[in-house]
Amino acid sequence: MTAAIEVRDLHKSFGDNEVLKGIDFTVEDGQVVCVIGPSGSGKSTLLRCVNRLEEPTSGIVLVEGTDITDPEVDLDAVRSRIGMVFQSFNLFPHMTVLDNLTIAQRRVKKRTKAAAEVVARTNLEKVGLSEKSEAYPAHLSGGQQQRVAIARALSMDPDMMLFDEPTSALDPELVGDVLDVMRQLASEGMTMMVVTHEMGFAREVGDKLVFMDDGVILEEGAPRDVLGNPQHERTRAFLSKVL
Amino acid sequence: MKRSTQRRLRHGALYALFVAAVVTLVLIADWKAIRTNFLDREIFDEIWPDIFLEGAKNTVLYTAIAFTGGLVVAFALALMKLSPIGPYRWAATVFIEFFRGLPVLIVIIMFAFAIPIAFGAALPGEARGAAITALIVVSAAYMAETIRAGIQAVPQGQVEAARSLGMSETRTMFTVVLPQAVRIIIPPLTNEFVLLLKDTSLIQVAGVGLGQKELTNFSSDALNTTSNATPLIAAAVLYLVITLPLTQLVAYLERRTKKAR
Repeated sequence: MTAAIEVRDLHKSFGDNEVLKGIDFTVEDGQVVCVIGPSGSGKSTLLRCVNRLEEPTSGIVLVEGTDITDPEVDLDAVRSRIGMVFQSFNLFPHMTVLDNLTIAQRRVKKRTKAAAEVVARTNLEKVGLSEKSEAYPAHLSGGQQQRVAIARALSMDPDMMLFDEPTSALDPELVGDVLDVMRQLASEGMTMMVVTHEMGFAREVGDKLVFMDDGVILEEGAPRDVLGNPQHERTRAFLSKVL
Repeated sequence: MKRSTQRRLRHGALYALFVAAVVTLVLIADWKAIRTNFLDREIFDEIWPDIFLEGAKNTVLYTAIAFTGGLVVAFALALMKLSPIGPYRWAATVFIEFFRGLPVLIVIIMFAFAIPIAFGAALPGEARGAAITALIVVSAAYMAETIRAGIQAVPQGQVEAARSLGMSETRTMFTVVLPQAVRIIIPPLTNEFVLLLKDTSLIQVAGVGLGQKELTNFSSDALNTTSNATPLIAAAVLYLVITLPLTQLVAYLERRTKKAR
């Protein structure tokens, strides 16, 4: 069976600064893979290479077997199958919550307004925000905005979801609601790649934990093993600071 | 003396000074001369309603044409300035810097008189058409920078979110970036509109035909024939009647947009 995401010998440089120094990495279908590491380790860049928000310098990124680094690939079609959730939510501020959820369904998936709204309302219900469909993003708390952002990504019926530090911009008391939604998604079998600092979530929900430092994967394995019995000195140093 | 008393006295003095200044102006003004020279009823009846039906109408018409045309050209220039292709960026930069650096009057004279001599063919619409074309070109140069700045003020995360949902570059521009940019650029564009409205008074140097005078042209000609400044005052009032609601509307839109954010 083809992996959901397969990365081979991925390099990425910004000018002279090499951020990813040869990454090999897979996410199997239905797996929840958490990526941790100090800031500047390249974990967000790796995530952003998976839907080519960052252009890889060299290497191969396969999404469900399709090489997205191929210049001939229909990138928009691939992206519509990959849900992406950002640290800063990035909801469209000039649209209501409902329009945020329907716009891409209608313009990209060519669904009718009515069909798109049915999907949108189902997903709003899932993240517990049915009553906010007519609100504008500015009137929602950070936690609510992030849950809307998750619902927006889900409304495209993606095969997998990418999360780029989804709780890092939130007040501590709002983190729980967002993690609950992600936990529920994982239990439904969604394929997820999560860049996070939430070690509790990684331990409890993750099928695999990847520790990155300075552009390479230092360690990967079952979260229990990596967190409980780290093999590398750098992993130990990092974990002792965050746990 | 207490601080609050001091403050009250100071405010009182400032008010008194203001009232005294107004009263002095009213007292020393020659009201009879003002009335006969600036507010002559008979002269007003002579120019009304032509000052409105010809002057004000043409001012609005020329402004509307120049603004619409300028907006279209400005939008193209803004996209050129943001283009990844060098020659487009350079061409837009040269255009913008050239026409922003010249007095409007010179551009109008160039278009109306220099182009027909240089190319042996005039721009459409005779001298008036050439003058309006000059206004289009100049206002486009100013508005292009405003539009470009507005587009760039939309956070990159908005583009990334739209692209992640599978929207194409063009689709992203029109559904996500431009609607947000418009909110940013409407207030400065209204300023451009008001400036342009006043600049239409320069069209007269190109020379216009019968029934084609705008407000300033109409009123200054009337001033010459009647030897009375009443037409000028009427024109001034008409200008304000057009511009004040506009600036108020923008202030209202700005307040509303702030609330929605």
